[in-house]
Amino acid sequence: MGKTSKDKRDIYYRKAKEEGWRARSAFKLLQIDDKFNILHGVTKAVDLCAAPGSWSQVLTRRLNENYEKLKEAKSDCTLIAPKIIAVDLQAMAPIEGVIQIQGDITNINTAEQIIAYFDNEQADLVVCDGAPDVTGLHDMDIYIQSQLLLSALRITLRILKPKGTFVAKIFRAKDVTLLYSQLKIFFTSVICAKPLSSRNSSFEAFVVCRDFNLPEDFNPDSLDTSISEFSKLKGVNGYIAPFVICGDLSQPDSDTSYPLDFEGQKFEYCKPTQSPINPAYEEAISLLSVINLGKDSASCTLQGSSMTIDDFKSQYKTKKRS
Amino acid sequence: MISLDMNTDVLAIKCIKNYVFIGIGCTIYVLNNIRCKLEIKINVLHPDNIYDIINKSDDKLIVYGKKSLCILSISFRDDFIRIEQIDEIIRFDDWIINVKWLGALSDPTLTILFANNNVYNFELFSKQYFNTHCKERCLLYSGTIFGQSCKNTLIFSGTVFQEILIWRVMHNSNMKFSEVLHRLIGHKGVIFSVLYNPLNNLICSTSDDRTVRLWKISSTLINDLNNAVWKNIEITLQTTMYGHIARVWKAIFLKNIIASIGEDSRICFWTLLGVLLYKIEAHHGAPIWCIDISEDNIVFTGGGDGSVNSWPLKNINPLQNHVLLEINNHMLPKHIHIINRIKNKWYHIGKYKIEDSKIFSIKWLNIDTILVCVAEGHLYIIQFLKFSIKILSEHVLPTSRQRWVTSACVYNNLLVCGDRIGSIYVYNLQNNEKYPVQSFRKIHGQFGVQSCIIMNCNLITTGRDRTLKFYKFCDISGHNPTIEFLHAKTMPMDWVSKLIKHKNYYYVLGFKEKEFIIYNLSLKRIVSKILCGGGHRSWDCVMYNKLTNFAYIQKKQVYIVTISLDTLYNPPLLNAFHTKQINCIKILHILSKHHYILISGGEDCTLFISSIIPKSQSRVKFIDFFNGHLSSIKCISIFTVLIDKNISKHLIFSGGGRAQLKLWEITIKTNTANNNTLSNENISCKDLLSYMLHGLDKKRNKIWVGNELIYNTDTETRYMDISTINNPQNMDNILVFIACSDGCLRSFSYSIQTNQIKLINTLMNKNRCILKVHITMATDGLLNIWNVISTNDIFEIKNVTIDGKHDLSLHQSGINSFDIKILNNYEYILATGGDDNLLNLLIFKIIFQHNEVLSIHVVSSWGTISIHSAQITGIILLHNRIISVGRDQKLAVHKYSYNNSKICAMFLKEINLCISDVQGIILCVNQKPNTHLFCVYGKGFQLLEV
Ligand SMILES: C[S@@+](CC[C@H](N)C(=O)[O-])C[C@H]1O[C@@H](n2cnc3c(N)ncnc32)[C@H](O)[C@@H]1O
Repeated sequence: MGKTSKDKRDIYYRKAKEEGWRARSAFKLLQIDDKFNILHGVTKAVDLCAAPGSWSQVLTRRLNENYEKLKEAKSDCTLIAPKIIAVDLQAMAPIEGVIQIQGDITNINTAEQIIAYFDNEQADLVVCDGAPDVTGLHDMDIYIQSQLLLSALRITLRILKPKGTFVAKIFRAKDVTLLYSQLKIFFTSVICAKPLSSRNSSFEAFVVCRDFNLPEDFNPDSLDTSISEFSKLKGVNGYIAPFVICGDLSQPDSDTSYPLDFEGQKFEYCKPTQSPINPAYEEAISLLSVINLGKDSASCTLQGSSMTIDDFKSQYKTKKRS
Repeated sequence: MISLDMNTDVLAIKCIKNYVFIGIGCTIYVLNNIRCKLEIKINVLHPDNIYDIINKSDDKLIVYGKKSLCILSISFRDDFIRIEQIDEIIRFDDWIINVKWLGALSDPTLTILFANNNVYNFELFSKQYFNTHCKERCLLYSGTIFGQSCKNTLIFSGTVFQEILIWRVMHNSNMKFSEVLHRLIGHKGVIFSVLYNPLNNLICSTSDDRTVRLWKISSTLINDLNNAVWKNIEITLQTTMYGHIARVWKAIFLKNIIASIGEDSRICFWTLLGVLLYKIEAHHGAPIWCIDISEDNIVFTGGGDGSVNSWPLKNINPLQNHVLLEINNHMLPKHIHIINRIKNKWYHIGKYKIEDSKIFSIKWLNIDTILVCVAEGHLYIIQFLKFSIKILSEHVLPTSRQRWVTSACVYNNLLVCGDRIGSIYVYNLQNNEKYPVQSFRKIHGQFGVQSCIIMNCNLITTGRDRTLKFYKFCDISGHNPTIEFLHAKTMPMDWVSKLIKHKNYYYVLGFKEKEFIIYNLSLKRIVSKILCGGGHRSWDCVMYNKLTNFAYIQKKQVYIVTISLDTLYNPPLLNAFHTKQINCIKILHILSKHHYILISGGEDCTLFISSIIPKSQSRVKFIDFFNGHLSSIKCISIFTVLIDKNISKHLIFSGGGRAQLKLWEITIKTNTANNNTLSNENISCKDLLSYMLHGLDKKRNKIWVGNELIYNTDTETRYMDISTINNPQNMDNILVFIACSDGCLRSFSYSIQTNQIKLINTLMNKNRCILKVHITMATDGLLNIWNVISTNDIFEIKNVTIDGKHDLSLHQSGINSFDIKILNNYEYILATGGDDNLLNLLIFKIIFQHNEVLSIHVVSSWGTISIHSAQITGIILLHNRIISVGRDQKLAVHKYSYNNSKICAMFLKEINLCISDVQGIILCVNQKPNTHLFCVYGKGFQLLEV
């Protein structure tokens, strides 16, 4: 396995690096937009589960364009600059014009924090690309993903303007119809879209929910206790959202293997645009080179609450030297 | 519908008395720990999978998984166990994290913790509950309930965002939320498990950050802890333990030891002070999901490979070591000394010189014969007589840089030698031939052959290339006996030195880095590792009864290590299957009513052969497995060469990642098999060839920039599907069509006689990954039909037009599954299932025009998108039914009819499946009328009767 094997397997991974996107996910949002025009006219947006930030990059770019266009058309100085709020569990490198919150979107406190930023204003668009770091237990991954989607919906219900749009990742697996039905309560149109940049073999897709419309007798605060309250909202039973492929066939397909010099262009290796910041496994990985943690006898124990991994490493090195 | 058998992740294990309760899929297996016997197997939670099994004294079992729960009653009587499901399955709206039955048996109130950080006190009879919410409203990955009664209960919950929260369950309170009493902060990722042990006042947690942490509850009020002083106590991080190299799923307390299990397939045993005692690699690289310990100190683990293993808790004393003698020798050996043991004493019998040259090696061939290798590759077979020696024959080892024999054996009239550069040579002793009659150059790579062994009338060689190689003897009593290479198996060690059989098990001995490894081949498990400095030493190892003695030389001293075999391992309770997702299964047809043979391949790069015995309790039996694929196996095609009552012969084409195609020949002797068992003695598998489109990595076209390898220009093509047909012009010739991920349809021609495969055609079809071939289907949802013309010198593939067009658009995106049947002379029915949820039926007609041009006319079609809500990955067309399965874990049955040139279908029923990530379905022929036996596969498999 060389440095380039991922480049070879995945054309979008390669293209993302070449075009300066932090993740190949950028193409998914772009392809959804091509089909549904979801970014048209948007100036206030929320990007949930945003790290490493490629969707935020797309949003900044497009929202600024929208803003420029509006400025030209109106030459009105009361226009407010675009607003983007990005939230993730993981730390994210800064992006100009994006307000960042590090937190758990399933936690009601994080939700309140986002709402507080909007301060009586409303968002034109909420997007959520949330997915768990898969455990390999599909049932569990699917459940967690559905909870991310419902958490995003709970936030959306509080801040999205009427007729606004909500786009979220969804796993097309068991019980997906229940989620479609629940979304259908709040949006006139719910479509399941699969961008060409998602793999054929993956069960990932995106729900594009348009024309937001909060039912009159519905109080979004009632969901604050728990997302499981959603399960009491049954909506249209067993609704299967129409399935639509986004991106036309002239765009590359993520399952196809392309040669590195695809389309006659000379291949040049690009480094990843943004590597993860403080991932959970960082300390454990840093031990690999010191004590080769994979070995049967290797371990590291930190005593008490103040000893750090660096203390261990320096102790280890002095011990080794003597 | 009956779910007959299943193999998938094992998520739950519980030991009660002498029994082990195992949750696999929706089924509970009860095994007798002492007799290792399956006592009971029941489906309890269908279609949900069992995530945990909890006992309430020895009377009740609480079984739960996902959003469902059920209660079983158990009773033990002497040597007998009974299980009964008391009530219906209770289904909740949210995911269950943990359940406890805290009160008395007479008070059936369950405490249930859900993933949204709330707790129900749930009355089993009335189904009434009281709900307490923690003030911190967030999603949990883990949690545990602790208390002596349901009136006094604490919750430890593990969040997505690095924290462990401790809070109390309320009763009839008018407060809306329960306050967080403590927040344990320190982990750097998701909390995967948390556990509280009141005996030592420790909290143990595991996480995404790959650590196990112990938190000390410091209080002088220890005895009072249960009584609500929790708010005032102090909890501090005591130790942080790193030992795993991937996520740590869970840890449990075993008396004074902590055992943690992880995604890295390892169990780590720690003292309460956080010192690592030892690690075990337990499930062939698959994650370990669950662990429990029995009363007699046996640890049980269940994993992602569908197996359950057991491990006696090791006593931690170091292995016994003796230093025997010191040797000091600087002279080159030129003589053979013979020493004999008579009545416990060693006598020096004689000293002989064969040639005036250094003796490179001596190998025992027999009780009284040896093979001596001297300079220039001269070999002598020498027999010991009473007071002299006799040279039986002389041979010559072909030249090489390191020209000496490293291993040898004789079988009938054949001498087999392995040399230092990894070649195997075969000599015919009958005619006193000096030179080899057969040679396998560098079959064991450049570092040498380590041993040649005869076992069950087969030859097995081992080498420093991590492999065991299997051969069979042909025409062994005839004039021209030869050996034939069958296949190789990769071992978890660098140098594979020896294979021995001891009490029904095969053991492979060898070295990895500085350790000596004993590996049980039958159980696929490392039995022991002994630090000895590495494999270049002189050594020997013998097993007798329950002991193993390993002797080696290190720093000029002889050491002996003795280990007792049965303290080191127990046989597994359930056997392992694929460690990762299964991508394809095919049925191999044999003329037997008692079993079917399955060939499967998956993401774990391994090919498995298993058999289904419809009439036994555990219906699927794994027979053997084969390595050789460098990347995942994605497709299999079987071509039957010969089939009759006694024997059948099949060619298996397997393809997958790295554009690799492998060909195996499987021979099955059905005549010798008794009705119930078909073991690996009845089946032989020969690795015929491996063909890589781009050649091996080292030979590939690389572009170097400075000292750094930058890239090679070849595409990483994957083989997605294979289809094979006999060349109608030439029966010895098989045409192989492969759908490739680079959009090409490649055709190969294989000759049975010469065992050679040739690429004969590359059809650049489109810029899209082709998913299926037979007719081709790709990720763009288009169907193409091809006409293959093959005569002796022409091979041509032509597109057949469908109603005047090149292709037919059937789906919006990928076509993931299909089945096709002939209806009558010219009409076919084709069923396809797509990425777009669409199930499609198509009737088409082949039209022959006068100038022999074919074309296709679509007669009628039908489709539905309202049955599946995710990709359809498997389809089977039966006489008037269509069976489809999808990633939504559903199996749907439709009835179809074709009248007056119109096809139409009607939905009949659907069934929820237990296994996830469904990749396909196959039909195993069934004897019963009106029911069919199916095997659905994906993450594991499920056998169903529909
Ligand atoms: C597929 S990535 C998002 C990629 C992003 N859209 C981009 O274009 O760069 C999914 C993200 O979901 C985040 N996530 C998962 N669970 C979360 C939670 N409970 N709260 C916030 N973020 C979460 C993960 O940290 C991860 O960064």
